[in-house]
Amino acid sequence: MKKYVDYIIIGMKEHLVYPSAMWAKFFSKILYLYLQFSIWNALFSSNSQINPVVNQKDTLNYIVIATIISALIECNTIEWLNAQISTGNIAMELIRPIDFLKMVFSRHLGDSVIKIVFYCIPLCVITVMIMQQPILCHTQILHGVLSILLAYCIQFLYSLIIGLLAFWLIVTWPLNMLLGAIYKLLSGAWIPVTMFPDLLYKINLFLPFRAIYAIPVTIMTSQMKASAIREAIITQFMWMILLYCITEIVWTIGKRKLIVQGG
Amino acid sequence: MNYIKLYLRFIIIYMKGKLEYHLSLLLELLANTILIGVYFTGFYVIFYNFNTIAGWNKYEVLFMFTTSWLAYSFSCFFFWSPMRDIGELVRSGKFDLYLTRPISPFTYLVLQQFQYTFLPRLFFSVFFWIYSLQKLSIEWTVRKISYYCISLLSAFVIFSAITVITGTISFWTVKSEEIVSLLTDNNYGLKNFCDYPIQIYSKGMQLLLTFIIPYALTGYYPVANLLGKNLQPFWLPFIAPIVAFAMAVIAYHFWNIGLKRYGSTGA
Amino acid sequence: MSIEVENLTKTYNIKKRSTTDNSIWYFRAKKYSSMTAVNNISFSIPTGNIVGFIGANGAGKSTTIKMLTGILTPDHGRISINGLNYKKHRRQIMLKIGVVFGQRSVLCWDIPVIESFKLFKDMYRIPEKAYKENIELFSDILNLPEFIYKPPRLLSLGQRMKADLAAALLHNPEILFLDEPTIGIDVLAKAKIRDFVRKINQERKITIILTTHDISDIEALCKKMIIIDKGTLLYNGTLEELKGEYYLSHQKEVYQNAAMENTLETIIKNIYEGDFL
Repeated sequence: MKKYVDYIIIGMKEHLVYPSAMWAKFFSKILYLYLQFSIWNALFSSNSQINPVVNQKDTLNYIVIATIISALIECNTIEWLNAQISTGNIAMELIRPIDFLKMVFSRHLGDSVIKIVFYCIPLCVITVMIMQQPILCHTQILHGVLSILLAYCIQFLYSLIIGLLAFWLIVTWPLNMLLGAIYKLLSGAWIPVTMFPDLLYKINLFLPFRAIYAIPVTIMTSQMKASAIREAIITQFMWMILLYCITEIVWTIGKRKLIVQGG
Repeated sequence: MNYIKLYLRFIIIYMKGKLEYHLSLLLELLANTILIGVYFTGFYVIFYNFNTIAGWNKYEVLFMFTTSWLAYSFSCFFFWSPMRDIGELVRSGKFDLYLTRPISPFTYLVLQQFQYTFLPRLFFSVFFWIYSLQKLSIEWTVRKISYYCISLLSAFVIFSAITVITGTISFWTVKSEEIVSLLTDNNYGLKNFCDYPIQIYSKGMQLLLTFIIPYALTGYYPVANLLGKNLQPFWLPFIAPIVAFAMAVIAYHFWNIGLKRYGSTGA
Repeated sequence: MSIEVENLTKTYNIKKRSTTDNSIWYFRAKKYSSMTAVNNISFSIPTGNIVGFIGANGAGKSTTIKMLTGILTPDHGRISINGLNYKKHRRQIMLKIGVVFGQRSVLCWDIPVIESFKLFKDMYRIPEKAYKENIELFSDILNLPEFIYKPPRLLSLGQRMKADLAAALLHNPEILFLDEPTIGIDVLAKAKIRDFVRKINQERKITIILTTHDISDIEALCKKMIIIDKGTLLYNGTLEELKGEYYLSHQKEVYQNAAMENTLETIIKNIYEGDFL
């Protein structure tokens, strides 16, 4: 167990190496929060005559919370794994007496601790000061936290799967870019999924992306029936198990490829 | 003439190298197409729910940001990749090789690449630009056309200058990617702010986008002027060429300072 | 072309930052210390000479070469290449020099070498006739046809170096800078490259400046050598003179140590150990 704690600490330290990059990232989060807030605010206030599916307050809360938790949920495991695999460093990692995937998760965990402290908490403080109104749905906060944790795991497993695809690809950035774009739209981090046109909404029901933002953020911000919450969390749970199985399969095949071809 | 010949030679080399991995090439194009397609889908979804934003209807907004994107795509076609690569070239010491050539390192960097990855964006921009133009009824006069052309050119210069300035930062810091993406990133950066009418932001942000990092001059002001929106003060839509010129001068000098710095410290 | 260097000095500012300081406020903690990499060096190299540059890692050798090739600008001093200087006549000089860095290839990684050659032909505006002549000449000595249609990523280190050498000489430069040209290359290829360099020097009267860690390169090629240590010029003269001087100052030891071979290697070893002056 102790060796994984060491990796958590390494993950934390790696994030702290470039303070200028951290500042830039923090500012870009604030900028994005402000951008999203302005756009949605303007959209609602200049269309007061029409009745959208969700009201202004809920949408703004949704957007703010989604942006704040994006700072936590975002995961650089894809790029990191790509680099490990394409440089061949992964062979060195496999020699060590640890479980590679657990090691990657430990690093990510350490990274996340820093993200909570340096991005999420300051962002929360800033929004509370500026918005001056309750943005969380107090009665569902425990379910919300559980849902965020599940979303965190789903995001990690998803990143792991995509990152491991580097075993088969020469250049990885196009795939990352492609999936990143789809992810941005379908996860609901940019536009609340309830606003999607019917077809898009239905397609999205069969994809894991909404389990990462749409579900936890909705639970955090808007009043829901107990049965709806239960259903949402079960959906997330199913996705987590499914992605976990896929990860194991991809990893087993990828490892075999590495051993046979020597990278 | 010689530069054109040289550029053609460079394109041949660049594309031959890329074609070695033709699957990746296809994937790159596909990825970029989807990236831009998704952006337009998001735009569609927003205006599926709402009719207007700050008094602009969706065709007006579309015309505004495709105008800006047109200039941006052309600018990135030439300058994005060289400026992104400088950091790595300086770190690895490969930048030395660019300094021992009879053409300037800047020209070399620009000529040696061919960013076909911006073609999907350009294609989409042109497509939706024409689409929005058809939906809008702007009475084009010679004066308006020339105003629009000058605005596009200014926008091209402004985008290029910002790209060059952010790229030049790599001569000083080891890790400038985050700082660069703060300004130019397509998803989260400041550049995204110019996809919507800037009235929706606070006064301070409007000033920032007009005078300091003048993204608003690339789409918002010229298009607002063409659409007959009321802009205060009246001269704002006409400053783009002057600002563009100033930015170009700043970028040129900043680049030279960066080069000088490299010359005095090396990698 | 001849090279003249006067009072060349280069000082680096080194940013001092403690490696353990991870704090957010590291921007403020900037301390500089200066290090003189090259200190008041003067020498001249006449047209047609092959000169070897010797110095340990960090002695200022590569800084000097970088200044001579116009990559770095000197703090003080003057570099004149046939009367031209980098500040004013950069382009003209670049058209007249060729540079080969042993560890950094100028060739495009994924495409056949010949395409890179064509690129340089356009870049340096080499006339068709001269280009053809050069390719023919280099083909003879360097076996270019063997690998010129393959991309560098498929070539051996020796072949890649040969290709780089040819690329640097396509435009008939009058000065050739070779930075560690034989690093990591096998003995046979090394001999080929040396032969080629010698031949080019004799036929074209090209001035060649060579840096290397391989003493045998210097012994095989250079008549003159420049030794740099800790940023200062230790020695500038011919190989024979160096050996002669060494005998004079070390006569006793040499007689005592009859077994010790008086090769260049031992001389240089002693120079580094501070025995020489």
